[in-house]
Amino acid sequence: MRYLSRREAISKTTAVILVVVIVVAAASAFILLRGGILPAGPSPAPTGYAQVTIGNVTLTVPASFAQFVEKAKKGEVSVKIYFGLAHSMEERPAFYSVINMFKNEYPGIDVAVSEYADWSTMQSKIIAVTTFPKDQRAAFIGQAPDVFSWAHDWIGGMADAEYIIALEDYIGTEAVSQISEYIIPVAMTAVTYRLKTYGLPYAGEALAIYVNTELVSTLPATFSDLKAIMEQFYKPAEGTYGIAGELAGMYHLNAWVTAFGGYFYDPALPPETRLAINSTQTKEGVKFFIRNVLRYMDVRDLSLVYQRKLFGDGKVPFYISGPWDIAYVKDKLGLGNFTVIPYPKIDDKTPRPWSGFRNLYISVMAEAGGIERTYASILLVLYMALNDNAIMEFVNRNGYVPVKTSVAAYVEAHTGENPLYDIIYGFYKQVLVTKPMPNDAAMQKVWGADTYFQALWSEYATALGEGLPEDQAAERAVSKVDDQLNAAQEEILGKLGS
Amino acid sequence: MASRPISRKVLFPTRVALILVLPSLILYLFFNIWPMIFSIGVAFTNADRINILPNPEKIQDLKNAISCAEYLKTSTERREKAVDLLHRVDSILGSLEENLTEIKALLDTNSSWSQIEPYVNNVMRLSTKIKSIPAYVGEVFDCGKLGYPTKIVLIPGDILDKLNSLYTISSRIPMLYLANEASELYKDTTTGLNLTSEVRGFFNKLETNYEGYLDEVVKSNKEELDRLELKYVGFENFERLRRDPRFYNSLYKTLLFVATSVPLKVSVGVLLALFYSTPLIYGRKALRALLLVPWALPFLLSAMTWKFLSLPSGQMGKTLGININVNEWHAFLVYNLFEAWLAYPFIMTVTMGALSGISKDVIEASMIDGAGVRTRLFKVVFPLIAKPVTLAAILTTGASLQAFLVPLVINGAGPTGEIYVQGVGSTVGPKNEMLIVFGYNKIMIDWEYGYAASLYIVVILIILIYVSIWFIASRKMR
Amino acid sequence: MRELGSGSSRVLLKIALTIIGVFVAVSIVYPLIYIVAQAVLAREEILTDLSDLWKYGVTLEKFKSILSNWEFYEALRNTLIVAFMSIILAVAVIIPAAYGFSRFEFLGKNTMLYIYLIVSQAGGGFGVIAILALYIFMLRLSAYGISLFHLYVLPFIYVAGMVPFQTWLMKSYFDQLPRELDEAAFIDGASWSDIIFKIVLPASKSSFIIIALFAFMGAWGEFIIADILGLNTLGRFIYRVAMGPVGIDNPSTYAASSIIYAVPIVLLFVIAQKYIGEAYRRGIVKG
Repeated sequence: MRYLSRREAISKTTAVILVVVIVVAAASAFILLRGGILPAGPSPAPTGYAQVTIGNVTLTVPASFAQFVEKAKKGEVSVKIYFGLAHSMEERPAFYSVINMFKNEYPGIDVAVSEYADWSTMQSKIIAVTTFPKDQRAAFIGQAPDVFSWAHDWIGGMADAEYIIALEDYIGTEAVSQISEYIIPVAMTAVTYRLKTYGLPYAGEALAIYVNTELVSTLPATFSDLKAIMEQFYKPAEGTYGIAGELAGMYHLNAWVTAFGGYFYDPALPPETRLAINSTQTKEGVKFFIRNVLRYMDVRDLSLVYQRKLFGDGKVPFYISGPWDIAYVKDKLGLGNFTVIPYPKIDDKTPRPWSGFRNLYISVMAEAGGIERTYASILLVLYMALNDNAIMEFVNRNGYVPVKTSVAAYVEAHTGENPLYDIIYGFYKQVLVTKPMPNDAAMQKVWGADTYFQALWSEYATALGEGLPEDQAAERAVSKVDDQLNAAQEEILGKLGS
Repeated sequence: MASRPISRKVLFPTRVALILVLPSLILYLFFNIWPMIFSIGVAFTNADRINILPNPEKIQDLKNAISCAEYLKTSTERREKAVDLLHRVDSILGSLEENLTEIKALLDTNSSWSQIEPYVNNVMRLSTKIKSIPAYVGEVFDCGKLGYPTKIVLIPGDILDKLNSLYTISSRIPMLYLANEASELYKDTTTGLNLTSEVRGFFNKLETNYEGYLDEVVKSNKEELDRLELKYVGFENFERLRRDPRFYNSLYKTLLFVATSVPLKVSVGVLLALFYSTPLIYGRKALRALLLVPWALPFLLSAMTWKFLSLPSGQMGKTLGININVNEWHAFLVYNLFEAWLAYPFIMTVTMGALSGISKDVIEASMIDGAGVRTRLFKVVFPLIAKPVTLAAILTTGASLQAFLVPLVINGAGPTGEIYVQGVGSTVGPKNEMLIVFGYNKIMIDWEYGYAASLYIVVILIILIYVSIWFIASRKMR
Repeated sequence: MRELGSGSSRVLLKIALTIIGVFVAVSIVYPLIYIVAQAVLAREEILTDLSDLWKYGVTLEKFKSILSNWEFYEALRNTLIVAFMSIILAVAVIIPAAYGFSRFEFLGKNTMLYIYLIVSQAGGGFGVIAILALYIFMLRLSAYGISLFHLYVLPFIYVAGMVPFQTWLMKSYFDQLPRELDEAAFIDGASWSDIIFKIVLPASKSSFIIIALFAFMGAWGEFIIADILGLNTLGRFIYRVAMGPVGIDNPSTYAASSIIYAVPIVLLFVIAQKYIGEAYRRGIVKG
């Protein structure tokens, strides 16, 4: 055997080294390029996180979620989720339209809409599923919605019972705080419970005053202006009244009560002062309302349908309601013949109604059947609340008041083009300075006090029926305010304490 | 057919009887008896919406949170990390406190509005930071990694609520500033300061009283677990019922309704049957068939029709000048009318059936005897139809006792107002709330299932008393 | 008072009474007239005066819109399924039981009959709690894998509810059928199946029709249980249309839909008038 000559040895070694180098280089390039570690986009994200863009919003989310979004966009996944709809019939087509937009953008996700008769039916379905342990829930997919839309004041109870999931658990606190920058603060607080975010708001509402501009030429700037006009129009013998509005209870009274510095329930305050149904200021507000507003109303029927019909038929110049009646009023009076103003000031006091928000929630149902369903549900929620086109669809079709600042800005800029935008922006301004209805579970018990207030208008109506003139009848009702509110406070305190 | 009486048992063996009867019995037991037993059981508990079907995941989370906290008390490693946690949390809260104090001071001294701006901006930034506090706590008290997976963060419930309020307030302050709302801003700032110092004081425990902090967490979660538990409370619900003015009102209204509606129903039914049976009217058969219409219509149809008619703006409302939304007795009258309208066809049919059973001979005999129309009616016809009509009346009384859909649909059981019962007290509620409606409201509005169940048991007892009176009376009649 | 005079005065009396009779009948049935008027009103408003019909016009629009609503057809289909299953189940279960109670003697027979009677009166008292309990019961069963949340459960629930009263009523009915028939056949050596199929069944035809009628009407008209269980039947569909804000907002549509809903029942009722009368006559009058 002969030894390799020196030259041969060197070339062999070189060859080996060359091969090794080439292999290693190829492998690393392969790994580097495929893994996407080579930065292709903007700022480097913290480890395990990636960027996701929805509409004009960019969020920093866990990488797995970002990857899912990518795949859904390309149609590389196949997931089916269920959207629960319990709003009124006229509102539903807009949801279908937005969901179609979503499906077009994310072809990998199929969204089936489940329609429910009303909120309690939908809620019972969700609750029914949660009575089963987590591993048994997959059998119910489709029977309860994964994503649904509803008002915000139920959040506390549902979150406590773990019927709905918090966004932070899946997309992290960073993403949530980024989202907060695009949405008005009061709306974000309405959807937050115990520091966790249980969905996203996409529409807001608050009571304001509709004005029939055919009947009223100058918009009232103060309450005394309002009162003078109401006085003018209040002629029950001829069938016209001063003002109309649904009166169920505290929800409709809140603006007047806050004007006098009163409030019904504020969870931020210490327990002794939290419930203030019978505080002096609250009582004053209620008495003011009876003497100066109720006195000009048609109290034979205080339901929504009856009261708004008075406005629709041109029998009252003012109507206290929210954006949900835009469609009806538009239909009856015509777009150019009405406008919306916030509650006018009473001397130096500003009435501030409660605001309510429409939110998109994710039920625990979405956690069954695999993480992809959860991600798909979250994506749907993000899309509907953050994509300006989707939100505008709601604004245009249903007259919803947006809570995303960019959409509100668009609406404001285009009020000239579409008179509806003027109305919507009016509501938007009112919402900005409101407090949202408390969303904690205790609030549900507080609503029970409504019966005490209903007893007050009953008293007024009975007095009228006995032939008393309005002011005397009002005084009779006013005389009962103290006792009623004291009794209400006692009863609710008892319920809260238990 | 005369024949030797054959033993019943041979001819009709029990075996076959059981085969025939059992299926229906089983069906009934399965679907109706279990609910009844359940309802009776529930009456002795404090069942409400939260604890009747709790979410097992939530219960597990609570238990895990408690175990985790107990374990953490013994962990020196976490104890040390807790101090870091405190510093992180406190930096946020401390900064918040500083800025709020500044704002308050500026407002106190009536300084220019624009001076407040920088502090308001700080508060705005801090509002989102507050939301990260649970995450920080979760990093140190990482229950998942320790083997106690839970969604619950280890901060006691009331402190979480306060933190949430702080978040809400600090989000709102910038808006108030922009809207120039000085007094609201002052109020919120003051509340915010109170909350901040309370919460800071609590978090300090992480350093000064580590076990104490965790004990608070355990206590808070145990309280929640307790609330989710269905508890046996003995006769408490019945005691409460005894002291509830609404119960007595509903009892009174129901009995009153029976007293007014049953005579009305029966007399209308009998009168119509008699009237439309005389040969003095043409087209009797057609008219009688027409009169049975209320029976044929589905309840939903009749209900809304009557509702529309009886509204103060509806035809009947206007003609009679009644307002069911304001006057409880007007509504009560409408209930009676509607109930009579629904029930008279039944009485009429029974009466007509009974009338047809009276043989013509009897009538002719009485006529021959010189009896006039009135005598014929009272002395001949009535006694002969008494029994079936009484039975029908008894059946329809049961329906009135259990009046539910009628008051509910017409006007939600009456205008709301004060209900005062001497010796018991007063409260507020729907004035025409009959017994079953009361139970329904307790379930659907207040979600107090246990209380409603106890009411239903009382209702059943009342009905049983009523039925036994009828039994004894009918035995005596035989 | 003497017998009424003959001739023209009697005819006059008859005419007068007939007019009164018609007037009374029509005013009692007025609500039906009203709802039909509401259904054809061309405006979505509560009818306050029949003259409104002239003011606003009449239309069959509402009927058309309901009949073209796919949800309506789905609910209709479901209800028909439930109704027919109820009929079959009721006939199969209640009639044999009634026959058994009527002809046979066995331990506890009378007690059970009394209990049936009492329960059929008192059962309603449990009302909503019972429905809730049933709902929870079914949930528990689902936890064990037996999911009863299906349309096909409704017939069982409905028929179960019918058992006490209908068994009792039919038993009284069977009591009227002469025993001797059965006994004679038995003595003549007929087997049980012969007795049942050749003698009893043909004689009790009306009982089948009565039970079928009640089963159908019950299944068609029931809406509360269907609503709580979330099963889409026609009753529930109408209830949903009625009770929501839609009902008061669109009274004419609601009226039209409830009329469509009522038509089959009314027809059946009219056709089966004679059987129902007979049932109550035999059951209650004699029982």
